[in-house]
Amino acid sequence: MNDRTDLTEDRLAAELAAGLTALADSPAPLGRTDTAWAIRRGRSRLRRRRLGVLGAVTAVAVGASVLGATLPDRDTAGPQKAATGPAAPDPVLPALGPETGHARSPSRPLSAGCPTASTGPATPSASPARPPCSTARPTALRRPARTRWR
Amino acid sequence: MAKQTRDAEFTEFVAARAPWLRKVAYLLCGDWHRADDLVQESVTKLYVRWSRLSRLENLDGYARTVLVNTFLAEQRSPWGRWTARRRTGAVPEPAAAGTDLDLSVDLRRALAALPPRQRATVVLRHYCDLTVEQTAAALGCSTGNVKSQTSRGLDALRRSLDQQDLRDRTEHTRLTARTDLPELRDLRPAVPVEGAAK
Repeated sequence: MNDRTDLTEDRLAAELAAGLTALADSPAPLGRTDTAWAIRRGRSRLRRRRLGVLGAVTAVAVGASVLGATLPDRDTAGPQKAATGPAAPDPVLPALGPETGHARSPSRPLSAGCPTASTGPATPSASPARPPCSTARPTALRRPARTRWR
Repeated sequence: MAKQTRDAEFTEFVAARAPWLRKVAYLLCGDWHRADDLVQESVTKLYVRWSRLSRLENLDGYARTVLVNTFLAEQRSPWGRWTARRRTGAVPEPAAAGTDLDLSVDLRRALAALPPRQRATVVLRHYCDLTVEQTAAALGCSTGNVKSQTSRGLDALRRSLDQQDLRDRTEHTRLTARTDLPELRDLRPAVPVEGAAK
């Protein structure tokens, strides 16, 4: 069965090849292929392609130069802090350190700055206008006492 | 000077290969005028790359690949699809005298009924005598794809040709059976059919 199918396929392929050859060799009208026209057209396509590449390169170069002129210069407009270095202190912010009293060491408890919560006497550097810290809740936020009804 | 040499080489190549390319294009599209257009476009594409192609070994294969790709790209474009739709109902041009007219017309009809890619595969395999691998390289697809397209194309061709054959036989039987018409009586075979007198 398989051999018969293959034979049929081979026969069909041979007939098809013969038919295609006969069809292609049949008399045809005169050919209109013009080599000179193809050369002219090909040259114009090449020229257009080169122009396109040149235009793209020019556009990229112009865009880059415009961007370079528009954006601020990195050396002159950069952050001043980085340029001056760590030696210059910030005039607005207070300096951090143990001698100013603003430093927070990890061994110091959270309530150390509070004069009422501390067990020892208040430090003289604490401001007198500062309200005392209280651990008690405000009255409005306090939970009402539970009333027993009998 | 180099440009003139290049153009002379190109002209020589086109003069030698254009008739063959035209035949392949005709088998692909089924129309001599469209075949001319396809060859012209392919030759123009070849010229654009000619400076790099002159070092190529198989220039014929490259030209054939360009032709097939141009044909397939044209078929995919909306203009190609529209013209193909218009061409579907058209009767193909009669073949020239001296050839087997029926066979040519049948084969052309059957080829035209195939989808473009199957047609290209059948033409490349059975007219250009390419192997499966060469056809796959020319079409830019896998060998399995070429095999399946060839098989489907041959099946469709066989069905189409069988139907055409059956139709012709039916027509012939209908004509020979109507013996009452005097003008058709002469068309009956002069040689008595064997076994008819018994």
